[in-house]
Amino acid sequence: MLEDRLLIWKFNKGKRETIERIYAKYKDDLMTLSAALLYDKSSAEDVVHDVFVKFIRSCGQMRLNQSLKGYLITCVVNTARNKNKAGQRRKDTSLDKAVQFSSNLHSPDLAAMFNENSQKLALALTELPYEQREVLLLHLYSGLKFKAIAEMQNELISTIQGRYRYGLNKLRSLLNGEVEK
Amino acid sequence: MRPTDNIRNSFRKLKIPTSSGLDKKIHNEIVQVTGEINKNKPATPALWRNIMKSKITKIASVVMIIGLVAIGATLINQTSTPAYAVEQTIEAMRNIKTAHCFGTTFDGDNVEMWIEVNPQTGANEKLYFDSSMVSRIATQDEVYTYQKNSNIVIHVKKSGLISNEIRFGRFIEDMVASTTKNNDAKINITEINGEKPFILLTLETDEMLTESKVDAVTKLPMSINVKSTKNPQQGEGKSIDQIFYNEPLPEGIFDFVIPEGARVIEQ
Repeated sequence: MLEDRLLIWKFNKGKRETIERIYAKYKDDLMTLSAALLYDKSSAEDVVHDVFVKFIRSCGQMRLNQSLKGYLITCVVNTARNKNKAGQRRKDTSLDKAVQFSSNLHSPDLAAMFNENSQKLALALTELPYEQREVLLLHLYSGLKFKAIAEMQNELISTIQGRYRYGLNKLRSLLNGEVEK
Repeated sequence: MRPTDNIRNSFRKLKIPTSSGLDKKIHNEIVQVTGEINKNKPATPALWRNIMKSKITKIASVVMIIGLVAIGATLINQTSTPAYAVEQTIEAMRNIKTAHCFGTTFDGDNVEMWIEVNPQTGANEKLYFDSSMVSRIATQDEVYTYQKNSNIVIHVKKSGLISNEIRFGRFIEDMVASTTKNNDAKINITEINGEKPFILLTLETDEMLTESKVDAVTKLPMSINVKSTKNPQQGEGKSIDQIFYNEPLPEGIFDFVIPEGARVIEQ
């Protein structure tokens, strides 16, 4: 947290190297999170771009009550969620689920985005409801605690834990523990 | 390995880097925004120019610089005059109006402080202190202490309490003065060369070791570290790790706002 405070202080001073450093430090993690939520690299980059542009333009006025990483993750999650909702509204809701799964399986985007070792996991995650996928990624990938996730999603901790448990069980059954070679 | 551990490890291996196109867009945004900020920033005179105007440094600065280069480690006991470099630091600190500090407590908590200093007396006019456990705002007339875990605010309305704090603007001066009163105290001055040279001041007593790294150019302390050999107190300051001088105070930094739901105890 001390480093975060120093970073934010320098950030508010408009120190270019500090802002570059913040971007370099967090960009890939946020990109991965966004892509794993949306399964669309272009949309994921839009999310990361929008989050960082807004962050950079807050230079001089930023006051944080949480960690910088937590703040940026929250921004990405909220932006991705909005994008996902907008995408769902546009999608043909009559699309059969099996056809949908099949199209994901052969999606060139999925293959292009994730390396071979991660494709199984990435594919299995598409089977989960968005809220469960979000909780799993935030906890297992971003390392956030359930309390932080609950605050982010404006839900009870027990709800988050439930989403995590159901999501993990479903993943286990899909993957049979064979993801890591 | 258990299946769940496999899954956890697989999550950690997910990695999708940003494209060079996105990196370039963000870089351009950074350049544009920082360019606008720095264009609008008012020019402030460098502190070292103020220091060089002072009488002491005009007379002795050339001699001192040569002297510092020649001297390695110097041990000075309480009977001899403290080294001249210390006087430069004392003089430099008389120009401090604000200090923004980042520090650590004895139990490892991180703290942030803003101090408004009276240049005439070196005393703290106003203080903002924030750690994970406690926030404190002190002015000449009152002190608010917020204990975060218990959500309690202690308000003491009494003049002069802030004067009990260490005089930040005279910290080194008071530290040196204490050596003449304490027969067992030793003050050491060491010049440390390297990529960023600094001067190391230490005050040693049988109970405490205080170290301050002094910027070789501005002569201002960059850090202050206290190592207590007896009874270090939980939550109390151990070190100030970074100090920034004469920065504009954030608006409202000394205005205390009672947190929602906090119990206020008037003392």
